[in-house]
Amino acid sequence: MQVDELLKPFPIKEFHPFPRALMGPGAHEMIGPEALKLGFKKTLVMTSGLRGSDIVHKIVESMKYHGLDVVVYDKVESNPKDYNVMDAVGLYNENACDSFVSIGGGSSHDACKGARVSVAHDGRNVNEFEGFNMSENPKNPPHIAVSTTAGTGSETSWAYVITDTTTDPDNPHKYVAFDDASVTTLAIDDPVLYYSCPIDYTAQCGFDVLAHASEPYVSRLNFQPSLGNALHAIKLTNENLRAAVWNGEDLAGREGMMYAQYIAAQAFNSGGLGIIHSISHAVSAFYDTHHGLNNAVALPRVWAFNMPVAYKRFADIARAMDIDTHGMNDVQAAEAALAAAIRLLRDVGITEKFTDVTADSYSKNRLGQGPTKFYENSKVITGDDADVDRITKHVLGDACTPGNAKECTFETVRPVVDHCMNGDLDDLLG
Amino acid sequence: MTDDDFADVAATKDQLAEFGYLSDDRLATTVFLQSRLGKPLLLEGPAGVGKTQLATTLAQATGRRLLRLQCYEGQDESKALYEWDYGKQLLYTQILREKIGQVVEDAVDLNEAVERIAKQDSVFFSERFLAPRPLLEAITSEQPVVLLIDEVDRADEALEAVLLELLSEWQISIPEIGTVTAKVLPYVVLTSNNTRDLSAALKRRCLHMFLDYPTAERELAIVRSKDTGLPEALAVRLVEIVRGLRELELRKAPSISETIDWARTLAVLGVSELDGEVLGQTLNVVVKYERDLRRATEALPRLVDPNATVPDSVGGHGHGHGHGHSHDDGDVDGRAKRAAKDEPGRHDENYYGAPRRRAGGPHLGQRREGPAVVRARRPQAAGVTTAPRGGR
Repeated sequence: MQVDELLKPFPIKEFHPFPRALMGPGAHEMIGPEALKLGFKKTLVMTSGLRGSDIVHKIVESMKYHGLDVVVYDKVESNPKDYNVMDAVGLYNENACDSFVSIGGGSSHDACKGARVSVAHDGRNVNEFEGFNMSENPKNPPHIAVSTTAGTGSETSWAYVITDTTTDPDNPHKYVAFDDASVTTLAIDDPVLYYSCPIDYTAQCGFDVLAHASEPYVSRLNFQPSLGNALHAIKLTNENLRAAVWNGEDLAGREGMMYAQYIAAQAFNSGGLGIIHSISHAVSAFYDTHHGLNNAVALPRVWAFNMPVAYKRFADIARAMDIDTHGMNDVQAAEAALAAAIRLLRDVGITEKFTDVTADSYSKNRLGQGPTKFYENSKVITGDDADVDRITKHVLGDACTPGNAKECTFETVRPVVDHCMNGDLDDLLG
Repeated sequence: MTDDDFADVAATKDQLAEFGYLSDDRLATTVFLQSRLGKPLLLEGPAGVGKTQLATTLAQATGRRLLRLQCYEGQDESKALYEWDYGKQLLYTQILREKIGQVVEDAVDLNEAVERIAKQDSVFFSERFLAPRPLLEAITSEQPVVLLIDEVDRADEALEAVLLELLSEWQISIPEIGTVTAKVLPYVVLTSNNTRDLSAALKRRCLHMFLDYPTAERELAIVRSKDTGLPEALAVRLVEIVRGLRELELRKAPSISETIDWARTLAVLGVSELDGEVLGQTLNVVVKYERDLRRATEALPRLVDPNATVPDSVGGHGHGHGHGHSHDDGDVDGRAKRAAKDEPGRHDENYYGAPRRRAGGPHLGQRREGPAVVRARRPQAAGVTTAPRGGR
């Protein structure tokens, strides 16, 4: 065997302990002073499904109170599309803005990060920056990200995800750009803004956290500095998600999930991701379904797929999920972790397979104004052979796939995708 | 309606062609049907595909008079239907002052005088003082007419509602006079550039047709029929190039009439070969916006010769303006580009902190000397030290 091969995955790791963050109830009120401190004068505020809620209004008013000029772009779609980003870039340039604020979940933050990178490259199409550190100009405008969900971690991570609808409109492509030029300048995680997040969103976002935490913990890129964050995020999710879902104004529950999302993102920043995310991106690309929902559906299947190469790690996850593993070997403990994850999924009421996902699975509780155009035009998830093939191919080309714990080929991944589409979760329980 | 305007579809096509309008079978059929069914014809489609021209030619071919109502935003019905000719009314009152004096002469008080004048209302609100606008004129005309209602999508919805009565009943109600019904049914052609959706009610009353850019052959035939003076071989190429320009995402794609203008322009310049330079210099004949001009200039060499390289002199397009676009993009088929994104392992090369494989030397050796991590394509990253460490 070549030594070269042995050195994979790579000897030099990269730790991403940024950005600075303000956390806790009331943190969002700091946005005005913080923006002034960062030298903001005219800011483009990007937001998505929050149209119609008063969160955006309050924040914008408070920024204006501090003397900032504000331009609002509120048309970011769920699973942000390249045209959302480019529209925002156009608006930014037209108004000669000098800074960004994003308010919302991953869609708003990601679109905003994409827009920053594009702005820093004289408006080049955001689709050109897919992959790892493809940007060449680090002189980005400053960006404050205010989270209103707990799952994305996008306010903290060095990744953003955009759907490319223009290269081949019949075959959209959702891709990740890992780019440390895209990291926000300041993250604001205020659990109070999370109070009004709908039940189903909260549940699905919680599984986004679980995916963000468990994937780097077992990934081929994992390394010590990120492991503690990963385990603790799993623990926090296990402890707080039910309360956050079923008792939305429970501060401890909301706060626990806000912290969980932050440290989970810190974990995957450095430890990489896996095919929970690859599957999720593929399904969103074709059906515009919610990222958290996709992660929730894919998670148990991918855990089961990855377990054989990392029983020990999954045993750690079991302990983080408050399972008493005394008297269990690693295999049994790993299986108990999977059972606990499935139980959590059912406790918070998430759809169990993709073919059961309908427009009602999540859009009904959207805070703002209903599903987006792209989503409305997407088709019913068929889960037939052609569909599974198409999604599997997308998975193999995804930037998250190389980090997955277990080597991925078309033959090995296809059954996992198929199970996500059509399989029964009970099959996974021993 | 005169049934003998057109004998059949083929005759319709011929008659239109005789006056320089080359229609395809679909359009000829629709026009023929219009003449037989007596329904208005609604033509939708991009600007410059010959919608208005059809109405003009229809008038010529049938020997009818053309009446044109050009719609615009804020147009009110008095501009479309009729107006009371106030000036004329006033003039008559001045001239007839004496006569009016006689009428009210022996009135006992002001009230009675007003009563008597009121009885004469109908004198002043009669057809004599009515100034017909195109719609009323089309209805009252003794001669058969073609009524062109141009760019109806620009008119307000109120005007669209006024049209409904006209188009279904062929009549117009004038409160002071009564209903005026058409003596001879006009041929009505409505055109729309799709700036807004027309009401279903309006569409229902019309024969509807979407007029798109013609096929290459038909467009060529049109150019030929206009006697532009451009040699046949060049016209063929020119039509291809214009069609290529339409594929670009321009704010305003070149229309047929602009193709003809371009052909004339090139003929006047005595061009014997279509090269990038002469096309670039005359591009402003067909492309009307600054941004479009830039895009079109970029695309032109490829349209002229798919294997060409871009001479920087063309249109003064340099690469120094810094928006960093790639000229290759236009050439690559989107589907192929997309398919490449499903390629497994395509990210392995620069995965996370992975040393970039360099052509011509094994990176393994470099690693033994000490890790030489050079970030893909970006020597200096924000916030993170990625400067080469160790031996390099």
